[in-house]
Amino acid sequence: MGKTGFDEVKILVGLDVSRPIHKVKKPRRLASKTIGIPAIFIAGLMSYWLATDVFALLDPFLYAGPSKVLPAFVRYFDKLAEGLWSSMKLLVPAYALALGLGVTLGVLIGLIKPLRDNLSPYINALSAVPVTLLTPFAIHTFATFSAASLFIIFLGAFWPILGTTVAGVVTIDKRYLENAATLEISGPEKMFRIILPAAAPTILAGCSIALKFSFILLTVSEMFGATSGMGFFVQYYSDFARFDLVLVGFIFMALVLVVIMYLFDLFKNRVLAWTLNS
Amino acid sequence: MTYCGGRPLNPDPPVLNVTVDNVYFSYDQKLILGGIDMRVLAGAFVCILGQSGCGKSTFLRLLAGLEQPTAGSILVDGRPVRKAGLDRGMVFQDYGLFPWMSAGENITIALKQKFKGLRKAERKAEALKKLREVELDESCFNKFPKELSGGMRQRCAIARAFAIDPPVLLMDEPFGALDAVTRARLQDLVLELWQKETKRRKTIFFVTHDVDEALLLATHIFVLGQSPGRIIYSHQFDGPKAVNRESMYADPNIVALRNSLIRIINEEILLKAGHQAGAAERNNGHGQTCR
Ligand SMILES: Nc1ncnc2c1ncn2[C@@H]1O[C@H](COP(=O)(O)OP(=O)(O)O)[C@@H](O)[C@H]1O
Ligand SMILES: [Mg+2]
Repeated sequence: MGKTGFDEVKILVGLDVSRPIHKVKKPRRLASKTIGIPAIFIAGLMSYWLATDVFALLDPFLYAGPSKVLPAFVRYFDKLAEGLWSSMKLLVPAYALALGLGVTLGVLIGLIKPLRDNLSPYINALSAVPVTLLTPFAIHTFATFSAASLFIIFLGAFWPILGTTVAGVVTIDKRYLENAATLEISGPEKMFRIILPAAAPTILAGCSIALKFSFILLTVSEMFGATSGMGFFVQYYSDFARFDLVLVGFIFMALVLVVIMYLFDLFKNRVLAWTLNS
Repeated sequence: MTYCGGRPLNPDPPVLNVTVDNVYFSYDQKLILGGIDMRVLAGAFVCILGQSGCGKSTFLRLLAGLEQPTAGSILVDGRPVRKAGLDRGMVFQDYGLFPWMSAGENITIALKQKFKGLRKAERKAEALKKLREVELDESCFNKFPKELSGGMRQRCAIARAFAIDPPVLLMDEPFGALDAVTRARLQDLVLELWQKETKRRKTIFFVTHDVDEALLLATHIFVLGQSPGRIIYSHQFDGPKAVNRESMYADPNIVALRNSLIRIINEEILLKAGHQAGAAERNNGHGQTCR
């Protein structure tokens, strides 16, 4: 299911993830395979430049041209970097918590059928609630704004990780479990060397979706309470109708997401090097 | 015998008799095995022949303790089989190795389970030795199963099975998916590993649908019939058997046995086809009376 998201990133990042890690990389082929990345970037930039700075086809109030955006990007870089830091202080703990709880509960629910049978309707119901709708509840329930923000991001990442972990554990081929049983593998050894690796392809697909969700929800949660952050930056200048700076904020966030997803894919490819299609 | 650094890992392991007493097994309401009896002395090489779907794998799963008989009992060394365990090693046609572990790790995790006292380096040394015994070189240790050929994967699965040194070894069509040449080499390899332990040979249950494979390997041959699975023929080789691939068919007794095995299996197929045709006719008749 996360496969689409994965391919998306592959195109964005231009990493040749289909290549086994141990194989010798041939730089020429790699370069020619990902030539599309700079090409699309340049084509997009040129078109936008022509539509704004050169021919002024777009409303300059909303669509600032590169001649305005690029210097603004440089000028506001310190502020953006500061925003990145405070965003990460929300994102990292929230995502880590979602990962820890999502995988732990997911494995338990996946392994224990009575638990799964009784909890499934509630998990389905709760995971269908749009997290953004919970914002007012979170703000009024939690003591601080940052706790409320953490909660919102956590929830956005939690459901996909929980859902895919349950699915991943339930669909482990029975024969691997029987194989482990004939070797009397049990306890933590079974958990960490059989169940988690066997379910890893599905779990990691969920983690990748969750990572993107948490970025979207970061912006939502920084709309209240935050005094800095990448989402705050966009929100703040949007309120002042400084759309050139809104654009700067968007570009910065996109870059950060691309880098994070790139690192995530490196990690994922390492962990899943054993799968047949890696 | 398994040695590690000169000291025996498993100095005096038991050799186990296996007794199968009137075993029945059904999936849901469908009777799969109907009354199987087998008395197998320690050190026997039992080949179980039969058409696909007759319940050979199911029988092996019962021996492994992965399923429980609906009726009857299975005793290993006098004790009933309750669950899967290290005293009964298993080699599957596929799915034998964990694909997320390297070939080496697949063996070391098994060694870790069986020989709790071994240190990590000792486990690795032992695993490498076992890989060499099945003619896999050191470079295979770090390879994932997907990077090995089918034959190499089965070699590795055999290496693991012999590494944990179980008194009883269950093999379910281990070479079913291999080409003829690889299959012949692996048959020789299994025979060699089994015969090497002259005093305490493993009791092997080897499922196959290949008559020649059974003739080459077995000390005992059982043929399972279909629906429900039961023993329709058994043969025990007395004394030394010509277990040489080339000379085997020079023995007229073996040729005669081969012919009757093939005849029995074919008759069973025809019988089943006839049975099904008969059932279809009966169904038709039934439909008519309803009208
Ligand atoms: N998990 C299962 N549930 C229901 N029926 C099964 C199951 N596994 C096997 N069977 C049935 O049991 C019979 C014997 O299967 P199996 O032991 O795999 O045969 P063999 O190994 O001789 O080819 C077959 O008819 C098969 O359809
Ligand atoms: Mg079978």
